[in-house]
Amino acid sequence: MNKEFFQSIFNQKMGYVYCYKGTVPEGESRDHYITAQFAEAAGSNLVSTIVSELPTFGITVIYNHAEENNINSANFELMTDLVPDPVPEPQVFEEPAPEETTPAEPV
Amino acid sequence: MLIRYRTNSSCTLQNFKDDVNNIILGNIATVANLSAGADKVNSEMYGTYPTGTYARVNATTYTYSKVHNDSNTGKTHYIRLNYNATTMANVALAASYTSGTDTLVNSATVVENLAPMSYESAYKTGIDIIVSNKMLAFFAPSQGVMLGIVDIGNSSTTRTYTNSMLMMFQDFANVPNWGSTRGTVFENTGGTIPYSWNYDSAGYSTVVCGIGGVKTVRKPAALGSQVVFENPMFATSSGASNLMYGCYQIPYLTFSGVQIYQDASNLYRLSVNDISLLVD
Repeated sequence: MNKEFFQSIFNQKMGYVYCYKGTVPEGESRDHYITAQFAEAAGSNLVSTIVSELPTFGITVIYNHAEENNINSANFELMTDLVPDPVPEPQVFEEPAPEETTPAEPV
Repeated sequence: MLIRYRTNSSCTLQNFKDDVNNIILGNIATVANLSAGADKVNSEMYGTYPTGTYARVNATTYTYSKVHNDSNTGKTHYIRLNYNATTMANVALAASYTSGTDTLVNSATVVENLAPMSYESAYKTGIDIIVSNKMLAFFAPSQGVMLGIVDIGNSSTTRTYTNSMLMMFQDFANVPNWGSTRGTVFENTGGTIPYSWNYDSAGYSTVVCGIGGVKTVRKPAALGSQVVFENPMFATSSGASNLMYGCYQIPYLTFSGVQIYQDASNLYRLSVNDISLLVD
């Protein structure tokens, strides 16, 4: 599960993905409950999130469409941001200048 | 219903918010009902308001519920218009909603920065707003905004994985090789279903779509007249395709810019980039 994996799942190139570490009380809607917990942790009800269960990995993650990670809660462990890594500048190798050779002196 | 909403130079953000809110809720019966910030002479209305489709669900935020047009109340989704100090900054579409905390559940957001703009007769500047039982759409070409929130039909995916949303965002400026975008848009990723089944992760997440249709033609109907054929459009993704309600492909450059016309049944349609949108 790397950044590219989550970029492909959420089809986003911004925002953050967190793993939900809490438990959902019986009878509660998982998505509604986790979203409400996340909104509380974010301190705002104006969050834009997606709750997604990844059965292959046995975890539930939440994607937050935000420019900054301002979540500080034990229930939400940051997994990755989705901002593409910068492409490294291509290295330019300078060709060494040909050494000047002094013409051989005539014998 | 289509409102070709035009504003004057004194239009405030609050005027704009009030007008958009009243247009969505059906409180505008005639252009005279628009706010003092509206240019009532140059604003126009077409079609009828879809009663029972939209409701505002919170008195503070501009959050609305929308019933899917097949009257399946189990597929009511939620739209939130987020304003900053000067513009409608972004629009969110959500699968569900918690009223107690006014929180969207499973949502996606698109940046719009849509603002009132004084009407200029040369450019017909303004905002065209479609409020129908099939879509809520905002068109302001002078601001680069061509956003539709469109009902989609069921597919084999959505019938199997029933928590999938039946509404999507479509950026009608991102329609490759059609209309005025011909030669400028190459990537067909203008659609977003915020919450749908994703086969790659075997779970629900956001699905990005393209837009597809069957090529259409113009045919002569009688001397001096012609027929414009309209074919249904589909949201195409890595999963199954979904019908986009009220969206039709029309022949290449039948209309330029954003124009209104009446089809063979005298229903009003708004055309943009070779796509015809049903107004009623």
